Amino acid sequence: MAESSERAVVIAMDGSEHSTFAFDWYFDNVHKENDRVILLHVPEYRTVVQSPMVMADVSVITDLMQEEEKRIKDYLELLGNSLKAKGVGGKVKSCGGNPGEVIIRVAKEENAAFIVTGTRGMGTIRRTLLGSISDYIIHHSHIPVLVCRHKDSHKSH
Amino acid sequence: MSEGKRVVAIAIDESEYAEYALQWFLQHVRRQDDYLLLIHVPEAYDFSMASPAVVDQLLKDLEKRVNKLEGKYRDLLKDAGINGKFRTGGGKPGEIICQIAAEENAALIITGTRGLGKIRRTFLGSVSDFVVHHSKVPVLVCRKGSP
Repeated sequence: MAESSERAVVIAMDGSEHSTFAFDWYFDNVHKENDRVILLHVPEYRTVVQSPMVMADVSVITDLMQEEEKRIKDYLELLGNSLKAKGVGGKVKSCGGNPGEVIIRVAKEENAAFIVTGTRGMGTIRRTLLGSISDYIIHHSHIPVLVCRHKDSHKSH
Repeated sequence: MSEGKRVVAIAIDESEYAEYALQWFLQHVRRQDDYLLLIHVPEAYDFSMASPAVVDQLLKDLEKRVNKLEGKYRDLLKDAGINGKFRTGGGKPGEIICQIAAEENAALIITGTRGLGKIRRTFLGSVSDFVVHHSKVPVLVCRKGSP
């Protein structure tokens, strides 16, 4: 494999400071000029699915879903801008499904050289040292995985 | 991030996975002025039931193996034109690797997915698993892929 040949890199992005950190760290420490970066977002309709909606009203649900979709659209735009800002070639991709599985699958489809991930996502529960999706990725990926630990994840230690 | 010297820790053992991790680093991560910290935590021997003569022999064997391993990696580093040093330690491999990496201010720890262990039930060896969970800096888990 030639040194300067193009590599595809999949970076799992979920809007958390952890994934932002992972992207920045990759760029500062591993990025090579010809890298083709795929910022992969796997939206989880958290707000809608997990809110207790005892007295569910169709219009309320629809509104929430629309808000969620707008949030996702805004986030994808932000991701696109961050690629431009760093002058990195690549694309933003959004796929539904089980995040861990999707990330592994997309990495395979794109023939990625490696996957970049943070250590956890948006969840506020800090019971574990490594979030479930990051954990899934390192156990199921067939290619190298760069797990970027954000220093603040040690605040509670 | 600074453009200067980075210390990159690589956990090594006698397995092919460790060598793969080094080669992968050289091909995909390496930058000018990187300084490699090769951390080796030899398999612990159980000396509790051994006679002094056996202990002596085991320690000699261990020393020989460590020297051989370091020699191999010294050559690999030389061929790649990169500087580095070795550190070894006794104790629980995962803990020692994280500890030494922290002492030497490593910016990144690289591990293979498994080492010499014979048990192949899991996809990720226990040492690599420990390091990923406990390292205070980013960890690159170098899986030798199936294409």
